[in-house]
Amino acid sequence: MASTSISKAEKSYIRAGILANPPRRADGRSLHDFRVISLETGVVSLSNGSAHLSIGRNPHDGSGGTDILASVKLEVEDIEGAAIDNGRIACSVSCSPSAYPHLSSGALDDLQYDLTQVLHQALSHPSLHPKNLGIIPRKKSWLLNLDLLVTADAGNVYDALFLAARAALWDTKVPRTRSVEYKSPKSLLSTSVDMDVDQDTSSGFDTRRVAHATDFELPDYWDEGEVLEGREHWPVAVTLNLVESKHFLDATLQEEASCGSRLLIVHSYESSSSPTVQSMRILGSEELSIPHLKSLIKEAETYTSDMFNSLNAKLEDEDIRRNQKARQRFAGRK
Amino acid sequence: MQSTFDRRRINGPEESLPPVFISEPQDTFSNTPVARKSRKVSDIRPIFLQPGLITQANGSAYIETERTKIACSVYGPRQSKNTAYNEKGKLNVEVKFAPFSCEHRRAPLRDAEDRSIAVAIQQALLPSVQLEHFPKSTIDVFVIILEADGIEGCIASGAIAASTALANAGIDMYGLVTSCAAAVIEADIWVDPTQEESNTANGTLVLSCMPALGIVTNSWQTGRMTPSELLACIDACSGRCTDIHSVVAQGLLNSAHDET
Amino acid sequence: MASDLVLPGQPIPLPRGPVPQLGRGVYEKDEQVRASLVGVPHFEGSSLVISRLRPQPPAPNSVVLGSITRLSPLQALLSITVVDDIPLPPGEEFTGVIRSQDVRATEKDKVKIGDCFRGGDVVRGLVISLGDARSYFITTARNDLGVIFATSEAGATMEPVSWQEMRCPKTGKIEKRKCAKPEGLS
Repeated sequence: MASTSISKAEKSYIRAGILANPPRRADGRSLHDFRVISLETGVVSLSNGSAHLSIGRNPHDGSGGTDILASVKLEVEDIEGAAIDNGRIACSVSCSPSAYPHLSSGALDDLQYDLTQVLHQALSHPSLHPKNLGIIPRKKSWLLNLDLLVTADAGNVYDALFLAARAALWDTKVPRTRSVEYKSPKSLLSTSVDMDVDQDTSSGFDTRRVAHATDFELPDYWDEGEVLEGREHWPVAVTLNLVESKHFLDATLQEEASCGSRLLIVHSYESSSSPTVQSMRILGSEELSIPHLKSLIKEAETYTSDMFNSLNAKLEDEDIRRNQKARQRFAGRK
Repeated sequence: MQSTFDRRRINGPEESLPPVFISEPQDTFSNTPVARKSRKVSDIRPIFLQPGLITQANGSAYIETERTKIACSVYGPRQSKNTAYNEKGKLNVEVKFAPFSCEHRRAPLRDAEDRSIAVAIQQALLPSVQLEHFPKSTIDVFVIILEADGIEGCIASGAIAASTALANAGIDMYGLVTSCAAAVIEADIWVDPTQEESNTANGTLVLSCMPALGIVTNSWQTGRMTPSELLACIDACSGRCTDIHSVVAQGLLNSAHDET
Repeated sequence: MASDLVLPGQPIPLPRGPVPQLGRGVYEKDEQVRASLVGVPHFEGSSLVISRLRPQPPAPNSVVLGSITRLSPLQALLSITVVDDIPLPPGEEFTGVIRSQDVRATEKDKVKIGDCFRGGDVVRGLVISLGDARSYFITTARNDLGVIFATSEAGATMEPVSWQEMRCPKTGKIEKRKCAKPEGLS
């Protein structure tokens, strides 16, 4: 996805700098350094969880950098008859035309679609699915819409998307629900409410046992709900940009345009030591041998574990900050 | 309901449930892998590959691996329309599912899955084609999936068919691309999974490579795997890719013999 | 013969001696010559090639045939149908342009496109460059290049009488064209 076109001379200049010993990059970083990442959660007041992330923003005037807004919105979904009990996750990525002014609307659609696919396939996989998205078994559940908006792209959009998605999902609060049963006369029940049937049929003749919970209510409570179950498992991604046998991280747009291929690896950490690979993609046409690929997979672990630890620390800070704010607001209301 | 209630008749119970049969079709999303009967977990399904079946195309190939049936045709290189000057050629891959290719009918419209398979196949082919020989030109690769048995199988077979069709079309390439899928099911690695098998898998990998040069062209991994499982999958896939390479080579040699 | 067929990516064993020049259909990677096409490698002069009889896009120095589709005072548009003696599949023509300065080698500034080509003429030309985004640049500035087939206003196939005139056999009228010199004419 060469979104910037640069001349051959510039391309070879950047490549030569990366291959040089010691390597040189235009902004003085070493090969495996990231730009400054800034992150804030809870920025969208109308959503159940949100985050604003930027990579490489100029600290003085706040300009430049890759900028992403992520928001999670929960919707109640009727799942009558469907084989999903624990809710669904749907991801979408939209790219603002102002981030890609040179792309035609068709190319922008394709780009959005490709980013969405990578994110959706990684995050909506059953192995990461949180268990507390159900409301009433076989009747209603939460549909978790994770929407990301790329407002500016200065390179490394994949890593930024996964970081922002993780922060927004971490921040998500699922409203507490309480099932409601209608204890009405049997005859009325059968006409007014569409009966749903408990599928736990140990005996084919036992037709009397039916689930009575038909609706739910939101109890009043001081906080906005509980966090997603297993929220520390949400993955982080790292993009290794490949130039011949070397690789570097966090490429700027020019560097992205001059490196032949990229390897995207998404890791999730059960514990801080052993990651599981949640997704891996190769993008681009540079040649890559099998031993090289394997060594890159191993090295990616160290990068994602660093990223995972620092992101966790930051998110916990954010939690404390937000909880204080929420508590103050609650206290002020009295 | 109440108005049609007739007291003079023997009425059935007020509520009823559909009977449950023991032989009811299994839930497609069940998480109990069924052991393979027909082949070992390290074996791939037999491949039938025939280049040059579509005569009007510049090059074509048809591939069949049990229930996956894919036809691929290559047109061009032809002049790129409506694009800026580009000294490298463009490789355009389009994937279509036939409406009858899956269990559920697919409306003959472009949908989401078509494009993600097309992107995966394009990535698998991209490093193999010498696009610098085709300035200002576009090579169109059309993949038609006649019958699908798992998305991983579609990507793998589609990439093999497309590479064969490119060779058949006389497009300059660095090497032939072959592709193989593997799934991690419980603690084992099952090569070339079917639809049911990949539904029960923790994670799946599709690896495309050029065995002649030892170059990986695409890896498309989804789901959960530990790094060691991933490395084992890569080994399993690359081993099978070498086997598939000889199938592709034989197919191309046979068709070249027929032509001369 | 047939056992010498190679496939893309297959190494080509070379005879001892100097490394030959590499032509189309072969490439070198890590000091190993490999095939990039299905075919039989053979020598054409001093270069090793794998030839193919498949249509390919025009490249600089390829000889093309095409018909004139549009004229303007500055240039003539050509729809290329044959590249290096290999016809292109119908509907996959490339667009070429003959600019007025590329029509002939002498008196370039006096060229009038209307006196050199007419719509529908079949022209043999040489590709001089890949041109711009839309079309390849074609030249006819050589004796053997130019119009090789044209019909007169009366509808008859004309015959060349000089390098810039053609005559209609029906009416005897002379029309102006930049003619290609017929092959085998001294």
